[in-house]
Amino acid sequence: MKKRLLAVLLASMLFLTGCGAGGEKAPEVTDATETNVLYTNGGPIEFFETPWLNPGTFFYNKVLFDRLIVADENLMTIEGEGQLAETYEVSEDGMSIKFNLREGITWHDGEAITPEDIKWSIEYAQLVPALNPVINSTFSAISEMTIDGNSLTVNFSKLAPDALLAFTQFSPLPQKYFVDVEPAGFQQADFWQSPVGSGPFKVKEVQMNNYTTLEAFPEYWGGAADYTIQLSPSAGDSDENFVANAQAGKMDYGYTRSIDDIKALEGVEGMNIEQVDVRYTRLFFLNKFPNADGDSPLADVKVRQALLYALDMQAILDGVFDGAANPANSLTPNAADKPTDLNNYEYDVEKAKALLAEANWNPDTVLDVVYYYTDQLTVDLMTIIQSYWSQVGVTMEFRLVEGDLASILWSAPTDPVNGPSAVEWDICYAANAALSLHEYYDRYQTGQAINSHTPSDPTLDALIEATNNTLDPTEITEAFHALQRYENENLFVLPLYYQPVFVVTSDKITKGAPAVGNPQWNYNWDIQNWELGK
Amino acid sequence: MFKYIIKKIIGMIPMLIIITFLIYLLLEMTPGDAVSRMMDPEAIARLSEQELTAIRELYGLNDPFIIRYFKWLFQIMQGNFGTSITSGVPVSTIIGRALPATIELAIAALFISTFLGSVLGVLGAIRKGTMTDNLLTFAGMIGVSIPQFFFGMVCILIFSLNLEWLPVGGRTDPSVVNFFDRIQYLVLPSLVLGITMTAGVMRYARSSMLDTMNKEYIRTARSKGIPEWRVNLVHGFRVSLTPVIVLVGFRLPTLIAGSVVIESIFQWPGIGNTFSSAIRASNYNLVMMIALIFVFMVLFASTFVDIITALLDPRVKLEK
Repeated sequence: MKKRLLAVLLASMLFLTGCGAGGEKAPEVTDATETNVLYTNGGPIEFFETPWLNPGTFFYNKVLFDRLIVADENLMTIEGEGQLAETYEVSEDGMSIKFNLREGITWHDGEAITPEDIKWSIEYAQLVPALNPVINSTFSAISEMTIDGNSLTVNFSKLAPDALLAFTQFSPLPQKYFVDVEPAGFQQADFWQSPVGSGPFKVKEVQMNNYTTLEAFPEYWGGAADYTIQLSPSAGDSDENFVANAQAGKMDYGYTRSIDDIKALEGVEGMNIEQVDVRYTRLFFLNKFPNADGDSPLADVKVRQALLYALDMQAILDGVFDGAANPANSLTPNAADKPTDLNNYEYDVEKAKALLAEANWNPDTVLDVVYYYTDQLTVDLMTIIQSYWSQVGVTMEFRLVEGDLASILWSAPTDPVNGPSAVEWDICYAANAALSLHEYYDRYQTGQAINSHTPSDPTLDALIEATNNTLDPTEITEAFHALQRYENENLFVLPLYYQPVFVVTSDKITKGAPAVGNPQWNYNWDIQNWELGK
Repeated sequence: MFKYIIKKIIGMIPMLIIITFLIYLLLEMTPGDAVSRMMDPEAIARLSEQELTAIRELYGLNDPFIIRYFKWLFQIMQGNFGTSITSGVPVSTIIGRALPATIELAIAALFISTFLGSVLGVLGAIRKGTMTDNLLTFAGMIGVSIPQFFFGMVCILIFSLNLEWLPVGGRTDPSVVNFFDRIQYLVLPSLVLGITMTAGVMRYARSSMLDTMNKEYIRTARSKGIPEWRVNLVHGFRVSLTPVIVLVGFRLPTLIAGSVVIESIFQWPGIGNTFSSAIRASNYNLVMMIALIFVFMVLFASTFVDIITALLDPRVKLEK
């Protein structure tokens, strides 16, 4: 009997321990049932990601923080119009920008937003290692900042062609929360458990990895929304539960690159899907530096051209992406300005063979192709390309690389003119998601830290430099067109295709939804003025 | 009895150290480290050697592997579980958020599978060779074979999306007031997890019951003229439960450690989800602490089952 009693007691203890631990205090009653709710994804799993690395990727960063100035859906700055800055002025030589802050604006905790906060944010960002490249290159050109009343003037030591664009994406933060935070540990600050922002919505409740609610910030300068936002957790633009949540009516706004997601959502009542051409190019980086065996097999431009002629990209994309991607003829995507007379390298096996023959292609050469994506689609794509290239006598092998990708992919050679190569691949399949066109090309300049693949080319250097030396829109366009033509002819990279993003919205958003732009960047959403139906 | 328990607990310590060392070693052998996973490779490539060393130093990644392991071990022994490399949040806080959700799910699933498995198993044994038994055996085989993710998605499709009876996922929402409001979120994941486990319990209970029903004392009970239902339930069922309890005892920790799939399908914010994302991020402190909990729970369950078995089985004499 005693044994039984003891057994029952032990079993009860185990059960109660479990129940006790599991009996988490129920969240307080909220008024979410009374207020209309906008459902979306990208909610925090363990922390809110800072808005300085991927400024618009997460929905919460778009609405929790204001930027100094604002861009339209094409990422063009709206002249004179701002967010935290009511107005701004660019000096004639483009070497300084004066931001005039709005009067009476506050952080979500009620503290005033001051020019000192903005200045501190920029200075602190200059020390943070994980920063968006466009913001980084702009801030590294800043020579000094001066405060005058409620204005901040930013002076540059050299022309920063993306300065305005950078300020449409950079979110200033309240200084007082980062007093003892090392820049290297910026993301690990307590602040990112429940950030205090300046935007039209503020954090209401965080149930990490479960749900997060944002409520309208009543003191917002642009007015207050009459609904709340509920975020389901997901990592960036990759949400395994996107379709299920959308079908269940728990996704009023979201975006995806996945064709499978879109196929599953087609025909779902109340859901609208819009394809957006964005600055996202999939490409082959080509290593043209000599390797341990001698010259690079890709050093000859004829070989590079042949490789592109040998691919029927339209057929490949129709098969792999069901037609929802477009063949590329440049790093610059179709969504941005580029010449109309670029060679599209239409599929031509005979031309590819002829070019390879002219280049004395050695048929024993095996191209080593690397990639870092772990999805099946990439393997399928590599297999198809392997098959196409084999038809013109080019052999390739492909492999997944993991781990220290910085060294494996982007180690630049000590001698950027003659090499030898510091990486062990011939071709790297990758993506370029750029905020600015400069971001596509600057990396190919001689001596760039991540130029692991393109030997010094004075012509290319000059063409890139020309795009960075002016603020005149016409001159910039001309400079880019010249660069794009050179790129198209010389193929220092092989552009493969442009992958769009699909923005999914529900009929619940009845008024005020913005013109659709790239959802991964910040532009004039005016989300506080959206209206929701029931 | 006391000595027996102490001996068992002391025996767990070297096991814990060896297993955690092996896990740390495996983690070390995976390509890359926390910094290479946290930061964009191009951003890392732009850093100078000094800057990169400073960042790695901040996360304690510059020491050799063995030093880092023993640093971690001493830290744990002092009750300091460290902080998550990715978020800077104390590991104890993260586990404190996630573990209750998993325990809640595991206990509910365990209850469902134990109840259904025992009852159906015993029923199969009593009706051995009949249509009922064959049907249950067939259902059991399907239950063992069906993948959890597939069953889970089918259930979501039927009960959440088509019938709209239950939510597609999550553990709670802002409108929830109390535990009973929250039960709607628990129903599907716990049923899916519980039902996929039922087959195992059922087959175990059936064979245990059949084994018991062939014992001498059952024949004796029958010869005494005791009604068949009483022979089955009081004499047979009760005794046949012993091995089922052993199985159930072992299942709780394995359930907690193995809930990754169900948590992922049902967006359940539990320890399985946390563990998998911590591994992907090479978040050493978090991975090690969760692994330590898993290992401890399995060892504890093993010890606990030993004790319970000893108490329930009259043939085991602890004092001897």
